[in-house]
Amino acid sequence: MSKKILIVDDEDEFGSTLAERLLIRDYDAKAVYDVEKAMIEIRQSPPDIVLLDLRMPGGFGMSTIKAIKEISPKTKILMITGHGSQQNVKDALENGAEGFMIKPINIEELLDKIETLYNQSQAINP
Amino acid sequence: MNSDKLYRAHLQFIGKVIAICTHDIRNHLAIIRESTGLIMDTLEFSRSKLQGIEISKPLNNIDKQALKSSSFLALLSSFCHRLDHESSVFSINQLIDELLTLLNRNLIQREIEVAKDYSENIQPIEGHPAILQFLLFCIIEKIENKGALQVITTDSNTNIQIILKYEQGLKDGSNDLMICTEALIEEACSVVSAQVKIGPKEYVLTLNKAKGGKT
Repeated sequence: MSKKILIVDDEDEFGSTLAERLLIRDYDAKAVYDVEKAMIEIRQSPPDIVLLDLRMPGGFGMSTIKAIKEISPKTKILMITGHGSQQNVKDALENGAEGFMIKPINIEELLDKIETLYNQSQAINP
Repeated sequence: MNSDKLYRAHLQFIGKVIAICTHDIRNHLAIIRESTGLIMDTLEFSRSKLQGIEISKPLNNIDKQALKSSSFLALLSSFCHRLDHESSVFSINQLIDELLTLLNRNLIQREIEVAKDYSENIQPIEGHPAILQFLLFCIIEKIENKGALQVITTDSNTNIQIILKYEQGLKDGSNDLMICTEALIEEACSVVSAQVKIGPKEYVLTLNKAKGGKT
C-alpha cells in the first residue's frame, strides 16, 4: 500500500507541484491549501505523514500541530517553511512535530525524512 | 532621528519587513525548485508515471515566481534605499503601496483584507518616507487580525490625509513587536510633521504640506 502524504501549504503552486513529484514516486500524495480543509482530510482519511507549512492563514503552525495530533496521533508531522526563525524550529519540535525542513527543499532529503518517519510510525504502530 | 527608542524601533521594523520578504522569496524559490524538479522528473521517469502531468504548468510556475521575486526585490531595494537620506522626495501612494506589498504575506497570515482608495493627483512631497512607513506599520500592527482594512489617501491645498479604516477592533494595549507604543507613534508623527486622530474604527493621519515638506 502506498504511503499516504498530505501537503498543507497555502502556496498552491508549491503544494500541487510537490504532490505531483511524490505521486510519480508512488506515494499517495495530496495537497490542500488551508488548515480547515486539512482537518477535514485528516478526519476522513488520516495520512501517514503531513508536510505542514508553519504559517498559514487561519492557523499558526503550532496550534495546527496539536490539532492534527488530537485527530490522528499516529500521523507524523514534518514542518516545511520559508520562515527562518530557529525559535520556530524549537517550538515546532516541542509541540509534537517530528521534523523540520526549510524551503526551498531538496527532494532527496525530503524522501529520506519521509521514509525515516514512516518507518518510525510502523515500528510503533505496525 | 529624534531618540534612541525611535531608532531602535525603526530598526526592528526594518528587521520585521526583511524577515517577511525573505520568507516570501524563499517561497518563490521553493516553487521554482519544485517546478524544475518536476521537469527533471519528466526526463527521468517512465511515460506511464507521467500521465496527466502537463509540462507547461511547471514552466509557467517558474516564469511567474521568477517575476514575482524580481518585482519583490525591486520593492525591497527601494524600501532599503529610503534610508540613504533622512529626508527625500516621495509619492505618498507609492510609499503606501510599497509597504503594503512588502507586508502582504503578514497581512494574509493575519487574515486582513486590504482595499485601497487613493487620490490620484497627489504631488510628490519632501519629508521622511522611512519614518512615515514605520508610522503606518505601527498603526497596522495595532489593528486586530481578521477583518478588512481600507487605506484612503486624500489631498487638499494644505494637507495630505492617509485614512486607515478597519472593521475589527484594536489590539488590547500590546502588540506582537512591542515597539509601536503610543509614545513612539507620537514621536514618529513629530518627525514626519503629521497629526494622528483616532476616530471610531479609523486612524486619520494628516500631513501638513507646509511643515512636512514642500510639494
